[in-house]
Amino acid sequence: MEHVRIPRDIESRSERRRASWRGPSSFTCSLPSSQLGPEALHEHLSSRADAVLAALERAEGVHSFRACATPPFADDGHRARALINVVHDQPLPELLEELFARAGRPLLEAFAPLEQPAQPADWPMWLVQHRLRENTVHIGAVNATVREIRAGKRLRELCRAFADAELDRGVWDPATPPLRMCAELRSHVAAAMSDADHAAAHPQASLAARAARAVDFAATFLFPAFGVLVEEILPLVDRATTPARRALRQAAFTLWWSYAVAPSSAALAAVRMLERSESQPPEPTIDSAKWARLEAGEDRFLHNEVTLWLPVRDSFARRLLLRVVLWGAERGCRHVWNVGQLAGIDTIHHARILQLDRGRTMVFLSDYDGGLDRYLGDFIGVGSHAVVPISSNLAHCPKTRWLFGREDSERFASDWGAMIRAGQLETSIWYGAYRDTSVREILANRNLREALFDRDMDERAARRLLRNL
Amino acid sequence: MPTSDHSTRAQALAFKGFGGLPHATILWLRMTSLSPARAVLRDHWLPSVEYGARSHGPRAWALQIAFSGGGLRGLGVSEAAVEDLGRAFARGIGEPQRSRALGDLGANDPRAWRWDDTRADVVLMLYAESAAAAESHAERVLSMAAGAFVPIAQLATRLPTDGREPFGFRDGLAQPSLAREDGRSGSDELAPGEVLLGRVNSVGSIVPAPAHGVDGSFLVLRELQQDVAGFWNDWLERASDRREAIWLASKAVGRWPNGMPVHGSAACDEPPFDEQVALGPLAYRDDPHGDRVPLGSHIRRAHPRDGLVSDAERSLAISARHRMLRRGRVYGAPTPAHWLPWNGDASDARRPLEHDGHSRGLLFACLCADIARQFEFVQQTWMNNPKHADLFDEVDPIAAGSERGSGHFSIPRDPLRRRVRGLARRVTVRGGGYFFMPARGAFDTWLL
Repeated sequence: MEHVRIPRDIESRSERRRASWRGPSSFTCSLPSSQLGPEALHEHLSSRADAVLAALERAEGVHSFRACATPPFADDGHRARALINVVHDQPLPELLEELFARAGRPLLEAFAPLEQPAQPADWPMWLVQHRLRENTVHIGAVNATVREIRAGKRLRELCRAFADAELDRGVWDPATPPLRMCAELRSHVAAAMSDADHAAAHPQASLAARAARAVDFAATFLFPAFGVLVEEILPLVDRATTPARRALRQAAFTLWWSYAVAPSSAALAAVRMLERSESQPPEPTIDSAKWARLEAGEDRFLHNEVTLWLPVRDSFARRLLLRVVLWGAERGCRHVWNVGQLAGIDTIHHARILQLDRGRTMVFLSDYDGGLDRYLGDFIGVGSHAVVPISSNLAHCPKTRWLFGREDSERFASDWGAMIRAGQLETSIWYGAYRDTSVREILANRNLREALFDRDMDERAARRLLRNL
Repeated sequence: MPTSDHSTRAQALAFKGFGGLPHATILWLRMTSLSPARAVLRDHWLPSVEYGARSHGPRAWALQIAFSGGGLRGLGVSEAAVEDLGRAFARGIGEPQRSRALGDLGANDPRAWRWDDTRADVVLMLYAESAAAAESHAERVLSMAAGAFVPIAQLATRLPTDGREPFGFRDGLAQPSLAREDGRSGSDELAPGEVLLGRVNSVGSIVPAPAHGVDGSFLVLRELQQDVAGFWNDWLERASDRREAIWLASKAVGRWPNGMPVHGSAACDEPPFDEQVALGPLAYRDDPHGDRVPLGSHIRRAHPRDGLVSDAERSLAISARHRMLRRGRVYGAPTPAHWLPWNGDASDARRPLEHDGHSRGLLFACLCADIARQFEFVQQTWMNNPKHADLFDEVDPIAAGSERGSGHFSIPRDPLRRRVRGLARRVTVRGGGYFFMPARGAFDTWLL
């Protein structure tokens, strides 16, 4: 495809600022089709999947790419829409240039049934025009680029192979000093790694980036009802690295809590009044044939995906509450759940939540490790205090109590699961750049690199590094 | 909410392993004609099924019965009623996504199995005092089935006299029992709802079950053929002597062959058997890196106890959600004594063991109330997961079927682990299925 030049101002200043301290980024758009309904559009997109996937393997900086056929928005006059999502390292203009340079032709063929612009060169801006704002984005390995992730995996493989070889040859044994082992490991790896692998090391955040993050953090806590997440915020105090910092955080928290406790309590009370005023939700309709097709395609890799299209409860209060909850979840993802876990769930690579169609639909896109049943089990188990408040606003969610609790604890899990299954979409095209690498592995590889090239390594650190090989 | 005592309604296997009847013949049968099949069930088999926790005097034999989803449908149970029991059961073990989750790929592909839950409608388990008696009861039961059922497969199983499975390791040491009706559990008891549908489970709630399912239980069966000669050849090739081979294999299992918890970061001798230690509760909270029991070892994967996450109490709670009652038995020819490295002449240490052409292994059997949450979760998320416990490319070194593993096994050691590499899969699945053991009375409502 011919090279397409994208204007640099399609990203807002706040987006660029946030990307300086929090990546990768996510881009989502919804492209209308007047030609095909959802099933036919899904069939068409699926038929182009192989070509798109093969092309994306050559694209730089793309963590994942997803295309799904969705129902149309209400009142928009179309038959279906294609939901497109890309998780990417580079700024959006560069991403679009990269996508169309590497995968333009297969993408255009895949998008043929959509209301496309006349000129292929207009496609990138057309995607931007149909862009959707993500309400919440969770990132498991914050600031890990595709290059870093792949280099980290290669680094670990080099280390392990070298260690095994030295043990096999008898050069190393349990009596070999750990620091010597690490020094030899470092020399070997430094010589064996390519320049690109060296360059892929996780950079330290610039002063400007850290300042931007601090401002964003402070702005988060200006919203007093954020106090409903107090149980998640408290551990931030314990994450302080020195006693002095811990004391400072404790004092700041106490001050902030005195400001937030009343509004947070009032917010919870308002939610409770809303809950009590509502009737039992209708049961969702599950398409058995679709469920069977979804199951047949699940859990193919170590790293998998799920896409959900879920109607929101039909009231202004619920649409508003969902927007507020998602705002809180986004802030939580930026500043609280940013060390590899989302509310205790450590298998999520990227999760995006969008409220679409004037608030009437919630879309959930996730790339995660392991099986779907286990993932959903984590949501309703260890991660329920994050998931239930969001879910409570959905049309088929069982009734909740005080935002976080369950009115019928016996049936909640099974009814919630039925809602999820009913809302699951068949993803037509899904690309993952590192399907055999888990979130924990990405973070462990980062730690391995930092430890290995730490000039101040002592014996204790050396033993810790070797133990993690 | 069920009001009658589950200890009288559920089939007896939920409460006991029939240790006094050490031999069992397992029959997998396909129904050929509906009316005669119902008559056989009503007039002959069902009256002989043992229920409940209490024994009614000494008996020479016992019968337990279970049905596949296809079996229930064949007997006239509606599709909706079968689905109500649970999706995994209704779909069966051989669905492609289940095969992926369970590692039933390649040599374990269900298409090569001797039996499964699509071909077998009913499974009968006949427990007796001797192999001859079990065989005799099986013949008698089959003679009643003429014109109604045909046998698909048959397997003679037993409780080993020394308590050891074919690889030579003591098995069934950490065997929970079913707790009281009120759900209060002892230290190694399972809440009733973890085994029986419609009862209080480990988090204190009752998952609603259809009326025909209450006090029933899912029975997962898998015929696991064990290549014992190949197993010990693997370890002997990677060890300097028999003593080290035993230690390496014990690290992979997580216990010494005599059942004592494994220990040591270098080859050492098996400690003498101490019943209190061997049968006592294992704890991993003081072994977070697996220096004693490696993180990837078989027993630690199958039941992580307090060592799954850094918070021990939370770890115990998570583990409790995925426990099952195991009721397996061995089958086939006994393992030749000289194959086990603690027997035999040390001068034979380097001569590879030669297979004797006999089949042997374990009929894995477990009872649970939720196949996906319990059995499938353990297989997929712990046993077959190469990323489990912050490992990178290792699956269970003993029983995993996953082809995602590298064949490696890491033994933590200071300062650098020892990695055993290139281990072959020595357990092959020859049959499998999800079956449902109905409670007393369930027959009345929808079979007769």
